[in-house]
Amino acid sequence: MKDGKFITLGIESSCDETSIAVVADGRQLMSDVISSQIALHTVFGGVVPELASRHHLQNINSVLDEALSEAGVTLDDVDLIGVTNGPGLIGAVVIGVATAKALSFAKDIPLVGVNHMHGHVSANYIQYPDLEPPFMALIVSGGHTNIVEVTDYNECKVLGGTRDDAVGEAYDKVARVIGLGYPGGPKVDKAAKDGNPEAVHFKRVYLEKDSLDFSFSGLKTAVLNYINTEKMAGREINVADVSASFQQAVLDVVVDKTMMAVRNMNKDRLVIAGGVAANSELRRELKEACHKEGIRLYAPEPVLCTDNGAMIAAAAYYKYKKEGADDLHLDAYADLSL
Amino acid sequence: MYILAIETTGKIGSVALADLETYKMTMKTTTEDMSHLKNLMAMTQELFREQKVTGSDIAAVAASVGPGSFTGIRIGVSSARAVAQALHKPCIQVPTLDTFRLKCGNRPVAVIFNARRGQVYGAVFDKDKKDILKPGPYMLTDVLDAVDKAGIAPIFYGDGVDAYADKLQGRECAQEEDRYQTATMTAAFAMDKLEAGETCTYEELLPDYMRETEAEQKLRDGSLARARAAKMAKFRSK
Repeated sequence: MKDGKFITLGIESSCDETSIAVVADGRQLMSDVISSQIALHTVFGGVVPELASRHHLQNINSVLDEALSEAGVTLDDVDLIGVTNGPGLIGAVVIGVATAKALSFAKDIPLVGVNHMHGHVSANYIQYPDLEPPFMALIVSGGHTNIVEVTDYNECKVLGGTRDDAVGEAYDKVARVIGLGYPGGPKVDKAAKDGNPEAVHFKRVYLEKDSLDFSFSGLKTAVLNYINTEKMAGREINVADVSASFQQAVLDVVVDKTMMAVRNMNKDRLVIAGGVAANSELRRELKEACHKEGIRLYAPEPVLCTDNGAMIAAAAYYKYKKEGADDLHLDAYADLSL
Repeated sequence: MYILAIETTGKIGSVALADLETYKMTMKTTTEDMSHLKNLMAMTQELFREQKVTGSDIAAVAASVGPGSFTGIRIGVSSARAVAQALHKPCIQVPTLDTFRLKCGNRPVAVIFNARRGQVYGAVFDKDKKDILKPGPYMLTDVLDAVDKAGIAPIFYGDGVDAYADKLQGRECAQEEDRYQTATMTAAFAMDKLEAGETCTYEELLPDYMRETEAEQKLRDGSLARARAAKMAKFRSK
């Protein structure tokens, strides 16, 4: 405890960000230190798991020191340690879990394992102090694309998901072929701002009528085919136009299906979460669509959308309140369902 | 005071406490293969309770830093770093192959850790614990050549004994119960280092993988660029 407040430490290392945060009473951000490895992986065109794991190990302890000192607390003030224990790159997840368990053992602090995806949703509890479940959520990231009904803290019903590539994955792959490189999401988003979304028509894939599932692999291939055809014909590729047209094809489907789900479930609140929730055009279009239908949209600051320790701390706080602590046998999982 | 020693570089993980006054050692070992993350801290807690040891009784935290399983190494090193950070204690870096020097006595020792495809992390020590082949990444044949060139008949240790059994015929291998690295070996090595004042901070405690990542190798030798170009060419030809 610090000044009468319950202090949670949140640890996240499931992909290419080493992040630790200190959160008071489950919602108040005291510090959120993020050490990004983007520069390290750029030369490889994507995240190299073994390299990511090596760097998490090297960075995590100084990230912890920084998070504690920025928050003005010590480990003696910490009441709970929350850590992502899946899903993610297993070698990377392991570093956060090993560190969390060792701290829990050495300082006798309760420990809670958090599902990374519930963490993303929980970023909203930090941004919006009054937000409480139930609500609808769109979770979009490099590894996941889900429309869910959040029924309680750390609990949800999955209504739809991707059958092949995740949204972020499609962005990364398309960014690579049009020469924008890694990380694809923010680069395509930026390039698209100067492009015409109607320049090239890519087919919108809706799957069966009423389905809330997604498929993006066909779109990725369509972009590749378009680029090849243009190159064969000796025509210059307009990167901005291709980016904008690809993005529009993705967002038309994502926004339509999300709004359909909100209507079907008769909900008046929609939360967005995950790295792709930082996409400026997605935010703009959802805002517009929600406004039209009288639905309140919750969209956390981009820094809370990317992987961070604060969202893990928030999720851990509510999980601990409901279910108590995990024991020291806590393990890490590459796949952990919602 | 005690040294807490952690060994997770091989298939079986273990944790030990070494009493710096009596030199008595106690150890706990996992019964599941490759279950280091799940069991390491729970075993450590049990060991502390049984030995009535608390964090303040710890003089230093030692970790076996490799070579070995990359993920295994990291579980041990991350855990050691965080325990040391939380308890404000120094660390001791223990090179895993070197811990087998303790096996020398009447006979020379050859250590081989399986690194697949004919490769090993290996070392050969004479009976006075001196290097015949210094610890490093080798082909198994390099280790056997070094042994034969020196005209010695060492006892072979490590999980390479199991992986390359067919290539070790006619050579003497350690019995299974004595074949692999353990936390008591880590602790014994660490005691000597502590006496010599060779400690480090938790930030300085780092793995010794002995190999760079495959991606880095490919980047350096140009095969990453070639693979990418081939992938694009294959697509274009469709």
